[in-house]
Amino acid sequence: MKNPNVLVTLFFTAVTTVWVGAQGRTALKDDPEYIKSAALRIDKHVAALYRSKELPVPDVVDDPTFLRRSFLVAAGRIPNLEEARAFLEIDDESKREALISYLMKSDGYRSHMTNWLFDNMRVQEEMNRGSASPYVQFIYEAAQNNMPWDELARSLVASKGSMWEKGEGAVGYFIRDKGMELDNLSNTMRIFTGTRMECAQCHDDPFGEYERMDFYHLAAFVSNQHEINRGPWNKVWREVRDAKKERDDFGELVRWLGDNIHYATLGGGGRGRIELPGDYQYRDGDPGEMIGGKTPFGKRIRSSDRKDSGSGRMEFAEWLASEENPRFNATIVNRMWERVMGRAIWEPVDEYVEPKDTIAPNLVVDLVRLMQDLDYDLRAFQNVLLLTKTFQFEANSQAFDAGMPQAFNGRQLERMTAEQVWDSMVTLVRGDVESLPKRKFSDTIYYKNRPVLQGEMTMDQLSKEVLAIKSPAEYREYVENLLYRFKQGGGGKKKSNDSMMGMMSSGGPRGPVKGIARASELPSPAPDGHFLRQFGQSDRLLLDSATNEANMAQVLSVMNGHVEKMVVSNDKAAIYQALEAGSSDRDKVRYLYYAILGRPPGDEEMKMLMRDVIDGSRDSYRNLASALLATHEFLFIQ
Amino acid sequence: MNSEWNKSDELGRRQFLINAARSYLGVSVAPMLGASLASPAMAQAATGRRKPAEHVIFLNMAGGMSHLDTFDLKPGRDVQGPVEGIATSADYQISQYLPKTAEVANEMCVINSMTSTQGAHEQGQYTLHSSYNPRGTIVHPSVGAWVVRLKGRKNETLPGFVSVGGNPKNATSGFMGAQYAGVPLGRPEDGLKDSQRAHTVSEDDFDKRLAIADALNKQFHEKYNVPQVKAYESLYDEAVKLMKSADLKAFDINEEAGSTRSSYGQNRFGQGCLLARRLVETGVRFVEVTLGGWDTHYDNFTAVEARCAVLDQGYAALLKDLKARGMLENTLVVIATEFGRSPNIVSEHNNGRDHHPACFSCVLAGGGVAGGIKYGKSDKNGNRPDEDPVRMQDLNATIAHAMGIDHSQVLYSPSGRPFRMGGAEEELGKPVTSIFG
Repeated sequence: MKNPNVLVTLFFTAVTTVWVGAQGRTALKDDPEYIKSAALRIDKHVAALYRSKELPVPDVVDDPTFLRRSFLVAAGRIPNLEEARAFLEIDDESKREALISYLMKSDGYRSHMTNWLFDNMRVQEEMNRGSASPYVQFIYEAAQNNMPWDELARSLVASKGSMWEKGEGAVGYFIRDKGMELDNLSNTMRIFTGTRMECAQCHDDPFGEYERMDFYHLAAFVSNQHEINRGPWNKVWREVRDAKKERDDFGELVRWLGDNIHYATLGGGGRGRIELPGDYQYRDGDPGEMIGGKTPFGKRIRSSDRKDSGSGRMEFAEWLASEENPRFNATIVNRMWERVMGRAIWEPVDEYVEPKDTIAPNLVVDLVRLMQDLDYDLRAFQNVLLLTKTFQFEANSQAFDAGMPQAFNGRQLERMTAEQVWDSMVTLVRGDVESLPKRKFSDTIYYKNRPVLQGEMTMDQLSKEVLAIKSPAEYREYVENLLYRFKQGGGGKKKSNDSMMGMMSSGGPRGPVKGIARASELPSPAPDGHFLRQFGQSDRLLLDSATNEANMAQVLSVMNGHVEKMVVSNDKAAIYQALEAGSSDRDKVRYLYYAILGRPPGDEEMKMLMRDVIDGSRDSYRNLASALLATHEFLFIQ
Repeated sequence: MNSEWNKSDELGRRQFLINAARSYLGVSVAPMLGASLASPAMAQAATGRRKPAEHVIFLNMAGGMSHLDTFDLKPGRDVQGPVEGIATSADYQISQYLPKTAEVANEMCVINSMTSTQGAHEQGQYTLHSSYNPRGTIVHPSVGAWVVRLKGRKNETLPGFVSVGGNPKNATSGFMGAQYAGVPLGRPEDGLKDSQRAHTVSEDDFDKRLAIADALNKQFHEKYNVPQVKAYESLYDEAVKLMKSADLKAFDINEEAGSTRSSYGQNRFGQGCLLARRLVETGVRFVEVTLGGWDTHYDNFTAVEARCAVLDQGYAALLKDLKARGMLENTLVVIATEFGRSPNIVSEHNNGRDHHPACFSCVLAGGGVAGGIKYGKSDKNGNRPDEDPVRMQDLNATIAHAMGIDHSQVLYSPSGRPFRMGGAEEELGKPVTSIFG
């Protein structure tokens, strides 16, 4: 265990690298002075709000609470022993700021944002019966590269072509919802503009702002989603079915191409007009009537009802992610506020409120300006919020009363998300979580779970060739040939140079990690019954499906399951470094507290533990570790 | 260590207090957990001479089960597509995809006049489970939580509500508190994971750990007097009780004969149905088993056929098994879904069907429901109910009726708002009483 004085560098190098690196750059998002001044500006708005509403201003939290809260909010996990010591055992005025810099630069931030994007973009490993790997990769890399929010929105909504084409993974956003164009559109509006339109898909919504006609005008932009050149495949597949040869080598490969290549395509760019459905029931239109595109708010964009535009999705994307779309801007600001402060300024986040009707109109307007000044850089924006005094306010110890302005009533005590609990567990076991294995991507062809034609052909190339086939005869010949090559070229067998191929960026194994890794690197979603699912991870089928409610399975897992097996009874678990770090029993107890709760024990606690629990034996420390993990404090973010 | 432990006054006293609290808790909580809120007089009035059902097995067909391709056939109409009907043990036909179900139709009441206005999955599932539309300010308890709350537990040591697979939100107890929430099980064959003390911990250490945690929790509880924390507090007590339960083996389907297991189908849903039977047999009030994958926008007929194969085997085996054990009379088995699918077949989507909330099907069996009957009717294309429409609120009121529970009984949330199992006052469900034998 390093000396705390050495550990100071852990956080402070992070600060200096950012600052030095920022010299000479002009973008505001890279200017630490701007970020700091923005944080101050926000605090002024909040202070004004507390004054005008005559609300009691919460106290600022102590160091341990700040440490743990910051880690969980910014990096999605608790601090390990080394990090806790580094922060708690130095006395420096600027250490909170240094900690935030450290966290925002950490891989933990990336991983934690990945979970958030996976939830919102409903990322699953498979689509229909085919792999969704390029879509997973697109979203994963969007988090990794900190893709600006407006760019992400545009990339998803304007996407087209084959998902396997290099850089086109975004099209998976539509393919994952194949046949459900309207639901996909409702989700898009909900995520990006905080507007609920799913009721208006079928009827005028008596509680909503929009009518069925409004929804169809919007749907016009994204309508007519179809696959690329499915014709020859359809004919060949029909022959296979008629001959009942679906389970032949040939039939299986045809089906696989249908599921993996054809299914993964989106032709055209959006028709720009749409027919009203057969059950259209209002006077302002007739069933089957063709209507053009029209946006319901923001800048007015229209498309013709007479001819196909062919670029409807592009037009829709430009409108959606525009600086002039008030809902797009306010919604992401509110979502980020919720992420950092625990509660959104207005709730629910997917029911838009005009800034002037929120509890904090000036704050919202200024936050929107800030988001735009930062070029929709979510990391920089969250960095600003994390540097505010507002973020440091103490949690409210009471349940919130209905009718109180929840966003400014002190932070609400919240149970960790499933991912935060899991990633914290992983931290307890491994300590140095940054070095754990990550998900892998490759464009190797996987047929029946085996890599084939490695070094000869990629999924991208295969997709291009298959989609270019013009006739059923040509298709049949191609499949015969491909089958032959799969068999010759190692289909179903592992080639001896696998490991070498694995080193190449485009080759090698792909997919999520099994076992001990951060939640973002495990299958999305984790399998049924996994610890993550027990703690309420989203099934990523529908939006907003994650929950942090308590249930019996969690408690059993803490007492008898993963927590016991992975951590408590595992002598190699990182938390037990606490026992080496401390020379006296009291030190050992203190470090165990650091590693699990991120705080030192209170005087009373120490007294009781020294008297009744700790006898110097390994068992007594194990009992303490187990008990600390079973405390409710462990599961909650204060 | 042991002797020292015994000497330690503070923790020793705490241990004593905890034990006392546990036994006390059993008493103090009993009026809520154990006994029924529904008075016997009320049960009698609700069910007439019939003995109320004791259990519910709720089979949730998540994604929107196509009514036209399962229980509401429209032979000869364009909307039917390639699906044909087959004869059943009742005097109506059902889909060719459900041959085993056809054999037990004499136990079933098919309702083909279900109707809702919620055309999105999340909202549809929410209303199906809670009788309410989703609101930003409250989480409404799921029907399983209502049943446990209003009917009370039957087995004091096992949870009242268990949920196998599916979206965790369907198992919520909302404002009622965690002790009424469904215990979520991932894979049926795993049973209730971690319900036994790990081999790495002695009984003595196990108790010590609980006592230490309890002592350490004190400060946190004093500081944060909020429901989320209290939920965990009550669950630890429940969990310890459960671990000591003699009935824990109810969760272990490996105790069943291989032939029984395979009769239900070697898949999660089938084994979930078998687990449900074991659980209700041991006194669990409400078991939900989810079968997903019904969202057949794309290639409807292939997908529905595959889903039906799973449903068919599990469901038919469940009814037969319950019947053979004399349990069908006191167990209501429900097949429900959030909406049906469009009569219109979308050729561009490889013959898919879209969401169709205006008209769909559900099936009730057992629990006093007359078998071999139908209730309600849809119009000629399955577009809308033609006779006796049944809303989600009505369905939940009917479940309440079967159990001898008053679906209109008001319970108040901690913030003082009134809620009912049958939905809000202005749209309160009406039980379909005529289907009870």
